[in-house]
Amino acid sequence: MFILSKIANAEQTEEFLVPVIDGRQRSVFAMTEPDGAGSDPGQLKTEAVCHSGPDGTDYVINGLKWLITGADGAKTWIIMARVAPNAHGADGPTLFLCHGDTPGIELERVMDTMDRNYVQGHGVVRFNDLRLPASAVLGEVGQALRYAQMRLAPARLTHCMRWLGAASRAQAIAVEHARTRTAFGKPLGEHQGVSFMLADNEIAIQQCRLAIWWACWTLDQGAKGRHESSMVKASVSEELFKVADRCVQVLGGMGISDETPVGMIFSDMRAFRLYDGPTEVHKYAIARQILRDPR
Amino acid sequence: MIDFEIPADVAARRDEIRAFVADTIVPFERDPRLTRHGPNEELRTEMVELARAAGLLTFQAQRRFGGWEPYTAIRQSCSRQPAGRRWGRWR
Repeated sequence: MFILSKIANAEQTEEFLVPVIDGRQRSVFAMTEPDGAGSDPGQLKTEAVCHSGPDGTDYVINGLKWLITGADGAKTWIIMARVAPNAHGADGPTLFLCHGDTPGIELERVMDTMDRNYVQGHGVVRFNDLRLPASAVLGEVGQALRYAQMRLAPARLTHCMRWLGAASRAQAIAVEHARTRTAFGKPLGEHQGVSFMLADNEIAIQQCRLAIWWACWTLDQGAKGRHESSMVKASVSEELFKVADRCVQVLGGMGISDETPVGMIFSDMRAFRLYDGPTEVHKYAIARQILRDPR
Repeated sequence: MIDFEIPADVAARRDEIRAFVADTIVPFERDPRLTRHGPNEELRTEMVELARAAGLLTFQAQRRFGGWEPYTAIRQSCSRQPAGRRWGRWR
């Protein structure tokens, strides 16, 4: 939604974005590939071959994508493909916009993954001679990586905000359990070992909240916030994973069941350490920045 | 310097979202339509309609589309966190 709201032209906005905002259909961003684009999108292998003739210019796209979140049933599709060098114009990584029922988009399967928080999970998708007109290009040919970068900082931070909410929910359930479940003659929460876990969670949740606000504040000052959002995403995902783990521990056997949502939040939180870049990719970028520009 | 004071209108929005999630969305936590592959279309659609009825659907959208933008990142952080108390992202 973010990329469309920044790049789509008026016709594309009306046709593809407005129904998503209205909740009538879902969008999907198809970038990741099994052997190509991932944390390093420059490895993009899906190819769009440009054809130009008397009827105009179109592109024929072929390639395999996976971990495509919400692919099953999505109607607004943003597809990243590499336009091959051609005699008609620009080439390079490009975003295309089309409807989910366009011939040539083939959903091979929905993957079984640890996380359960995304509608219809993550799909494996093959583009098999997917033919799109030049009007399907989103923005300009060859600019996909630049457009993808536009959403990096805000997307990382909205992940952090949502998962902070999920961690707060898990903590609320753990606190209630510690207040009411008894063992050895008193509520669990009166056992120091349990109470310290709840205190650690409270500290971590507030630290994460402040860190997110700080990165948001840098964005609100007009900065791009790439370095700051990397620092926050790397630390918040790791800390909230520990929070979720302690909530499971406080709940005991019930924590690994589906009797409460805590077990699911834990599994989802494990995935959060990978969404929008694994922690190590963020640390790699952070380290490059500080080595390039020591303070 | 960063100001930690949450403006009254933002706090009111936060509380509104939090109450909606607690009262209306949390009851879906153990809904069987929350599958191995996430909430299915039927469950999503049902929750979307509840959010629409509450006036909270896609609040992050630009004002021209009925959302609350211009919307600073700080303001978003106050809104999205209570929204995240149930599933990271359900639409």
